[in-house]
Amino acid sequence: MASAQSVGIRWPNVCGGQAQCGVCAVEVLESDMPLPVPSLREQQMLDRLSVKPRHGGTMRLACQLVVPASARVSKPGVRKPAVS
Amino acid sequence: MTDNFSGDTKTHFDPAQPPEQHDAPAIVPRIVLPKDEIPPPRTLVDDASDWVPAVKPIDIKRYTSPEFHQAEIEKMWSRTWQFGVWSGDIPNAGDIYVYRNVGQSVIIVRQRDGSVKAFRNSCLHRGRELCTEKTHQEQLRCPYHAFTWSLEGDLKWIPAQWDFPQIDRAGFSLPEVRVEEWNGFFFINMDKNAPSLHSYLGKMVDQWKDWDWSDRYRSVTVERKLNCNWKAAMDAFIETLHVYSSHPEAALLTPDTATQYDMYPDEPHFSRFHSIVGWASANLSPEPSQQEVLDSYTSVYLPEMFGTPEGDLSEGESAREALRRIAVQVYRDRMGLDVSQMPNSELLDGTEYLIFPHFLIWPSTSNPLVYRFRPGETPDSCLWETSLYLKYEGEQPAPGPIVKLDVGEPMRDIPELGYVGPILQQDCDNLEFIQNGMKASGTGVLEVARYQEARIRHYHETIDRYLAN
Repeated sequence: MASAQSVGIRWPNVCGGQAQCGVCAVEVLESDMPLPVPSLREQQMLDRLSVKPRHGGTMRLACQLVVPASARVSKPGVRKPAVS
Repeated sequence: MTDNFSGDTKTHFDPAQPPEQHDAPAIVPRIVLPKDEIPPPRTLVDDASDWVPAVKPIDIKRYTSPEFHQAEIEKMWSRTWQFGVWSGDIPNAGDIYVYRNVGQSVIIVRQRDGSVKAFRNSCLHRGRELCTEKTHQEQLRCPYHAFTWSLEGDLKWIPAQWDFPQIDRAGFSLPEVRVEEWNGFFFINMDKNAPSLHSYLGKMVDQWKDWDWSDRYRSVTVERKLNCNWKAAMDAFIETLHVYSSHPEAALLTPDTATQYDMYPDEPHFSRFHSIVGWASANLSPEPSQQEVLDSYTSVYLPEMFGTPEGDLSEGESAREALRRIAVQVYRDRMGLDVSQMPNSELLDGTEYLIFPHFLIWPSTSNPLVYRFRPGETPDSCLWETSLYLKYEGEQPAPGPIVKLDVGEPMRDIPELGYVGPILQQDCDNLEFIQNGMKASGTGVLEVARYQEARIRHYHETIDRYLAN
């Protein structure tokens, strides 16, 4: 989520990256390297998530996930920066 | 991804420090509903009520005490109208539904003339239950010794009749139980002297004239055992105060602390709420943009419901208007239903009625839910049923499956529940820890909100009316 925000992309969330709302959840479709194991805090929120993977990928919290290399993800509601 | 987003890219909200709300927010439905393009049912606006029962703590023993549990059985359940079965589950003559609750067992039987009768589910010979599960029979024959009654309850056959000289055949009919219908739902009452169901429901019957359920069918029922009191389970579904913390993904979408709750001092047997969609929670500060409100729906719920990825606000369009536009399109494209003339209150929002003591029904098309709660053998357990009643066009589909789950089994994996399953799982995550928590209380009471949790006090007061007599 921070990576996206750093290039101006707005990523839906409510809790601002504290693994408390689950709104930032993202489906990871592909990754060049294995993803790190979710922390206890992330896993507990993942267990409560109301969204499921739709493309056969893996659900993760975008606010907690540090992508080791490059990854392809799916997330409805993500928006590019404003065009002035 | 779109190019016309004009909000900033920073995170707004801090759930660790949500704004304290010292003043009651406006009740949002009262603001929003009159502005909707298609007027809502008159009752949602005209019958809005400011009355709430007196504020007082609720004694936890009402949830945990075996004595209170027994008093409910003897004085409340024995005299109230309980939801038995939906009409569509017993459509044909000879269809039989077995309804068990608090030690009572009743069979609800479709008659040859289309009417419905209910009988105590007990053979007059040696007491065996005549039926043990939903079935279809031409007559009511006890499996034990074959005593047989007609569907109408008249005695038909006695084995070795010469050995039962004491039985007067004409008077050996099955004892009937009161059964009456409202809106396609059959309710039973163990009290022969109870008021009629419609009298019991009071002005709710009139309020419901604005909703047509003739085009609904039961698509699924999930029976889930819970290790908590039946009232603790029901409490989780009659207020929206819990939405921000228990269903946080909905916080951008619904004004959880500004729901409209209606109850009336002279109507002890029902209450209701109306919860708006397309307006953010007051727990979020600063207020999110309309595009963010819309995005929360398209990012969380819509993909689960319809596979629709996202939507953009048109020029000057509010999130609620956009949600309506998307919903009308989705219903048309995915389900072949024309909902273009349906008010937002039914298409988007959630209205929920509680029929005392244990039946919750949502008239909304978007949340077509029915819940029923029944006590377990002790105050510490219950059976919670969730059903979906979906709209259909053309021939009525056959009723859906009944899925039975034990304590701890996940709700989220029932495909027929769709997006509702994971939400109900979030509720289970609270309910499985509530009975122990109540018993560990240091105060012995629950402090419920004056307005937002008034429905809890309201039905507790009704319980007290029954227990006092």
